[in-house]
Amino acid sequence: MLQLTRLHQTFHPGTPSEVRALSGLDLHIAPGAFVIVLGMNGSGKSTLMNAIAGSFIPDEGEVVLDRQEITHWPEHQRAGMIGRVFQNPFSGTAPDLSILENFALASRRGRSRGLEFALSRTLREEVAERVRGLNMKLEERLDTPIGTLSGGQRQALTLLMATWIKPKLLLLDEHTAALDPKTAAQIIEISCERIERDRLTTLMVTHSMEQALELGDRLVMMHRGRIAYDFSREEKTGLSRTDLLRLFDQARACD
Amino acid sequence: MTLLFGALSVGLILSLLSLGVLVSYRLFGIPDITADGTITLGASVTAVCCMHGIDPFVATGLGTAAGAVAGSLTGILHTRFKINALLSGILMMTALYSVNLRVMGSSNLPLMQYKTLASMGEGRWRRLLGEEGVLLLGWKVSAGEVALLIGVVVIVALVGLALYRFFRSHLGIAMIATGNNAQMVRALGGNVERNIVIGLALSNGLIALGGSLLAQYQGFADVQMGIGMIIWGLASVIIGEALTGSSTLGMRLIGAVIGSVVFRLLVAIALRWGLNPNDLKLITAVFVFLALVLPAYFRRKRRRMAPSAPAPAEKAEPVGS
Amino acid sequence: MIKTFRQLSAGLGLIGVCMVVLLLSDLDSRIRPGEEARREPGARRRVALVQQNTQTIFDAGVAGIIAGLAESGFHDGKELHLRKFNPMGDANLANAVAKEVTEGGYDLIISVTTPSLQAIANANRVRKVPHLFALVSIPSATGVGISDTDPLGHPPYLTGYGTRLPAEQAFRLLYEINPSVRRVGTVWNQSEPNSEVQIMDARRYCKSVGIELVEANVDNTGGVAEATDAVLSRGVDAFFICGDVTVLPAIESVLGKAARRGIPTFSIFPGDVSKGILFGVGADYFEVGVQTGKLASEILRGRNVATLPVTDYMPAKIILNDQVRSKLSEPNRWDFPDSLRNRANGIIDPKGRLIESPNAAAGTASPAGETRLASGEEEATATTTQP
Repeated sequence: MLQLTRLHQTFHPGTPSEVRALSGLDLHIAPGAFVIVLGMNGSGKSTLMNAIAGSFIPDEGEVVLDRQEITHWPEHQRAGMIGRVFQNPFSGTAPDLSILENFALASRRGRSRGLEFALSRTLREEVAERVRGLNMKLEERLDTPIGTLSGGQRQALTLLMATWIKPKLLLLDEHTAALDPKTAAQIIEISCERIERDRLTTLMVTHSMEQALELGDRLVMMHRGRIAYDFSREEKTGLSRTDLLRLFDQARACD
Repeated sequence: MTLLFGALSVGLILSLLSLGVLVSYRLFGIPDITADGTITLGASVTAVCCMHGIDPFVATGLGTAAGAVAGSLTGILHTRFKINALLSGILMMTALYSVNLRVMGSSNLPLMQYKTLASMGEGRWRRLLGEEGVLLLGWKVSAGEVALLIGVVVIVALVGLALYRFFRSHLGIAMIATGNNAQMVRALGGNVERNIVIGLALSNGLIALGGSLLAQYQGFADVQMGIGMIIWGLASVIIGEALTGSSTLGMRLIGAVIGSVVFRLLVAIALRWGLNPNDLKLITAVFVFLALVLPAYFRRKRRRMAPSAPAPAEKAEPVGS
Repeated sequence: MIKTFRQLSAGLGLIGVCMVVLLLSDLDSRIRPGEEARREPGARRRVALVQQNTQTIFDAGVAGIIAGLAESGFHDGKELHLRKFNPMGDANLANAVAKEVTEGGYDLIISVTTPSLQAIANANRVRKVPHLFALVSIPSATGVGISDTDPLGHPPYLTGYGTRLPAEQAFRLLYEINPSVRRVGTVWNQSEPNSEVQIMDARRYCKSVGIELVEANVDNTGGVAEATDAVLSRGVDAFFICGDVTVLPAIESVLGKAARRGIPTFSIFPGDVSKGILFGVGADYFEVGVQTGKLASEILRGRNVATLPVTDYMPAKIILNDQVRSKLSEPNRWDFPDSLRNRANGIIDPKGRLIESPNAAAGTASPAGETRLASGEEEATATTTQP
């Protein structure tokens, strides 16, 4: 489904703050796979996400999604195929718009937006239905501005919005990092439920080793802009936290 | 009574300016200085058309369209050429000064002898109410004044309803979201740059409509009539928000209109009650300052008394700023 | 629904309060059936005096009006209640002021400048308060219904003084100083109606005495320098600086270029002569104001405005500059005749000091177009009609 070939990206080249974020990264993801990307700060995992999503065009390399080369597509053009949940729980929703209006936006991801009336009853009922599944009592507050909700609630809604139209690829960018443990667990639960139900190809970035070990069917560890280790499901099951730490030390020692 | 009618009429005409400023400043976060030039553009285009005998409705439409074009140019300067939003507005406003001079052919165009929406309305109502006008609560009001006020009320109501409907369409929601959280809009497939251009076109179209109506109301178009207008617009928006709150879109729209009307009423009262005219501009500035500062002050006091709501989310900045 | 109303109540309530306040202040103009507002004979007259902006010329005019009224027995605070208005060039305030002066129960409105005239005339169509204007260069071009051929062709409640910019007088003086002048250059902006009238007057006069007027047009202030160079290099004897808002900001550059070639300049702004202009003849706006004030007092005493013709009044003020003359390439050609020296209101001596003369700028107002220069020189000019 997703193929990244020889990706290179350097920020601020030639200046004292030069950063080689991606140095020749290759990654192939099969449809329906649930891949976890683990890495310490500065390993390039966020840059990887941004490269896939289209926040910038890489210096070198190719990005192919569902057999289409999207390397030079702008972000909003790719958005039709990609659903994204950000680390910042406030980044995925528009605070001044109501829950219903936010979902109206999400319901047109990848499609044109014209002058048709957006807040039809059918939409309202559908949104209420799906939101009810979150068990947060949000279905009663569809007209309140999203800005009044907590981070966890907004992140849950962002997740629903990102998957409202089934995306070809779901990008979860450390999406529980800014939440408290209880809410984080809730979000993970909802995420897994959605991924399973729709069999979504998912790429999830995390710096939590727990999540890395428990979730997904493939584990990719990044270090310094490249993939250091790549474990399939079977290989993954045998790993423990200490193993991961040792692998990181190894990678650092190789520098 | 005529003074009241006048203040209400001008307040409503200028509420189109506040609505335009509401769209660009509050929804997109862009203080769009183009407004000073656009309001004159609407006036000058309409005036020249009326002078040449073009139907006033068409003339007004052309003036509005010209404003929309100017607004989209500002948008393009900002999004395509990555010029800072404030600077883009200033560039367009400067260019528009010369454009307006060219359009009018001179610095001042009197309209009183030509057919305008104002003269049409006055004519019709004079036939209805007679030359003497009506007696309202004991005050004599001419047919002309009645015509102008009713006409302006109808126009502003129609525009307000159209705006309300627009911002509940998919495109409209995407546009509000663009000013709220551009990153999200991109991730949902919205073209942020295009939305900004459309938004500024809409905003300046409204402002130009206001300028066009103002010229027809006051009987002339002057190349300097736009100078300082955006301050009036901003002040009206802020006063409106202080009065009606900004909870829903409908409230914001109504607030902008109410703010503009209140402002003009206060100016009329100030003039009537012997305020030194030389001080009028200083007082206006002080007034705007208070209108900007007091709502935040009251909000803080209210928050200290009530349990705190979560702090408002940061708004992602659009391109270039 | 109720919630909506509650949210709107603050705003609507405030509007309501303001409306009531305005109406309450207006109780005097309420008409009770069968009654007409009557003015007692001994009551203080209420006069509104409106200037568009603060500028030396306008302030001089206003000061003159107040002096003229006082001279005729109307002093503010005694026989007169005078209220001054100045919207500082802001179009919205100007409209609000226009509404106020037409609705505020004034016996007479006096306005200074063209924008003030227009705003007030527009607002005054219903109430028709007597309105006297001054410091307007071309009254018939303001679109308020003043005829360009008939001095009495004006709305019955509106009259005043036009003060045509004295381009023709400037050229006359030029010819008086140097009858051998053959070519005069000038630069102006075709979009400026004021400039157009000046140039028309100049052309007419030049044709009558055989002077060739060499013109160049500009669209913006940036092009003035080049245009001036082009004109000066065509070999002109003198350069005319007309009152053109596009050219004036670049006046220093124009003067510099002319000075470098030793070519004299002349203008219609006596106040600018000290910058390096050979001479300037302009309107004494204080004097215009005085005349306006006197006419105002007549109206206040009962003169019917409809019978008062719109007249052109241009009391000329002449300033000569000997310092500039001494620096010309041919100073002898530009000797100021003694009769002119005696008439001038001020002469700048070779050291650059302005010596004012006691000659008051005087001219009698005459019906549309005939203007006379100061004492002694009664040249009846042909009635100048609008081009």
